[in-house]
Amino acid sequence: MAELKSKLDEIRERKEKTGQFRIIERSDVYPIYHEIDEEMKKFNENQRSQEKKSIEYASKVILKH
Amino acid sequence: MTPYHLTLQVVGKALKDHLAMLKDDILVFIEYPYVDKVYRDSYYKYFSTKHHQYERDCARLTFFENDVTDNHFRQHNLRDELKNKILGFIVIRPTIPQLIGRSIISPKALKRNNFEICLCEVNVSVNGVKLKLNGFPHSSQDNETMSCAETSIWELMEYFGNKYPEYKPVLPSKIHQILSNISYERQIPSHGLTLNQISFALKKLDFGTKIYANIPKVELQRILGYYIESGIPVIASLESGSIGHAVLIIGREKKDVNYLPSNYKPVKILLKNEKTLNIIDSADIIKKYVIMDDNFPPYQTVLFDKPGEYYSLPPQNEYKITGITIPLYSKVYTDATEAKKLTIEILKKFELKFPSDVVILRLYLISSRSLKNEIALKDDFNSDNKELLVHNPMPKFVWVIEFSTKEQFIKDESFGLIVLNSTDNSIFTAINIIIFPETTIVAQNGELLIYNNNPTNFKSLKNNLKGEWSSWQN
Repeated sequence: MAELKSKLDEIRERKEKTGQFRIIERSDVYPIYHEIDEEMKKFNENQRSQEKKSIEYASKVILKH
Repeated sequence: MTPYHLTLQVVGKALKDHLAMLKDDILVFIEYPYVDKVYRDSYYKYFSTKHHQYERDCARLTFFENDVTDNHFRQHNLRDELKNKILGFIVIRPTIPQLIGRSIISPKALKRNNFEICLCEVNVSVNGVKLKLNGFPHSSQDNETMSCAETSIWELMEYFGNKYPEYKPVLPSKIHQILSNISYERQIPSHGLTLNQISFALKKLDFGTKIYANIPKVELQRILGYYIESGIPVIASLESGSIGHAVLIIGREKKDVNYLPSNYKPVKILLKNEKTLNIIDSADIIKKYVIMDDNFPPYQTVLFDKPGEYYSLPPQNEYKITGITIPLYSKVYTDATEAKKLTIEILKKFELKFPSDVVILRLYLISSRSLKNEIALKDDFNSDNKELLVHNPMPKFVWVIEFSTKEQFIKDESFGLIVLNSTDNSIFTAINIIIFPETTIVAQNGELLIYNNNPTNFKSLKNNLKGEWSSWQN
C-alpha cells in the first residue's frame, strides 16, 4: 500500500501541473457507485434464483457412462 | 491366474487408439511389474475382496523421443538431455476390458496439438532415473470402483495436487470416503454420481465449487469460456436421452474472431459520451474445447454443440453439455457472470476512451501473482501503469477484463484492461485498477485517482493456458 501511495504521489507531482492528474472525491464517486449498485442488486437477485435452478437440476442426472 | 487372460491381443486392442494419436517416431520403455498407487488402492479396497484372483501389479509404458539410448539413463552428462526427451506414460491395469490406468501424455507427443490447455508437472521415476513430465492426468474408468464421475474428480485432484500446495491428489477410496457422508447405499460397485455429488466432493477437497446447469445454452457456453480462459479445468455433465456422462474440459483451440455464431449480435451499450459501443465477448467465439473423456484417449477436441462427436454411434454422439461445475479457489466470491455485469456497468458509467466502436472483451480469473509477474516483464506496457499495477494491493485472485479491437485481437494484442477484486462483487470495493487509452484510474479509499497516460497497446496475457508458446511446460 505504501509503495502504491508513493508511486501515485510521484505521478501526481509530475502530472498535476499540466492538468493531467485529478481526483474524483467520494462525494462525486458514490452517486455513480449507487447507480451501479442498484443494477447489481437486481442482477444478483436473478442470479440467486438461477443458482437454485442449477442445484435442483444437478441432482437429477446420474453421470456414469 | 487372473479371471481374464491379459493376452497381447487384449492389451493391443486397448492401446490401439492411445498409440494412434502419438507421433510415429517414439520410443517405448516397458516396465513390469509396476506398482501403481491408484490401481493398488482399488485393488486392496475392492478387487482383492473378490472370489476370483486379480493381479495386483500393473505394467507401465513410458514414451521418449526415439533417439534415447541406454546411455541416457546411466551417463551423468546425458541426464539433462534425457529430461527433455520424456513424452509421457500409460499404466496398464489388469482390469479387462478397461486396461488404461493412470496416464500423463505430453501434448508434445501428439500428432495434433493445435490447442492451449491447463498443464501440470509431475515427477516420474523411470529405469532408476527421476524425471519431470508436463501434461494433464488421464485414466479410463474401471467400471467398478471408478465410473466417469469418480475418474473426473481423480483427474482434477491429480492436476491441482501436483500444481498447487493448497491441494493434494486423492485416491479412489478417499473419494468414496468423502461421499459416504451423503450416500444412503453402498458406493462400490460404482453406479456413478450426480453433478451435485461431484461438487460436494470437490467442496470437501477445499474448493469453493460453483455449479451452472439448466441455463440457456448460449449463457452456459459463455460461462464455460470464461473459466477455460482462466486456466481452470471444468467438470461437465453430458446428456443424451436418459444417459449421463462426466468429462473434464481442460482447454481450447486457438480462437478466430471471424468465427462467431451466424446470428450473433454484439452487446450494444450507451457510453457516457452518448456514443454506442458494440462489445463482442470472446467467450462467444466458436472454437473447439479440449476434453478428457475416460472412454477415449486424452485431449479429444470438440465443439460445445457436439461434445460427443468422437463417439461413433448414438446416443453418445448426440451428447449435449447440460451443466458444469467449477473448482474455484475457496476465497473467490465473485463469479464470472458477476464480474462481467460489473464490467458492463463500469463501461457505461465511467468516461473511458475506445479506439473503435466495436471492441472484443476477454474475461478471465488470474492469480494476482501471475498477473503482476506477467505485467512486470512486459516491455510494451506503459511504465507508470506497470508500476501502479504491480504495487496495487490485490487479493490472491483477480478478474481481468482485457479489451481489443478486432485487428488487435487477431494479433493477440489489447488496448486496455480492468482489474477487479474477486472477493467482493460490490462496486464500492471491486475496482483495483482500470487502464485505458489516455486514462488510468486507481481506486483508493473510496476516491478515484485519475491521470492521463500515453496510450500503449500491449500483448494479451496468456499465461493461464499453456501451449506450443510455452514449449508445453507448466
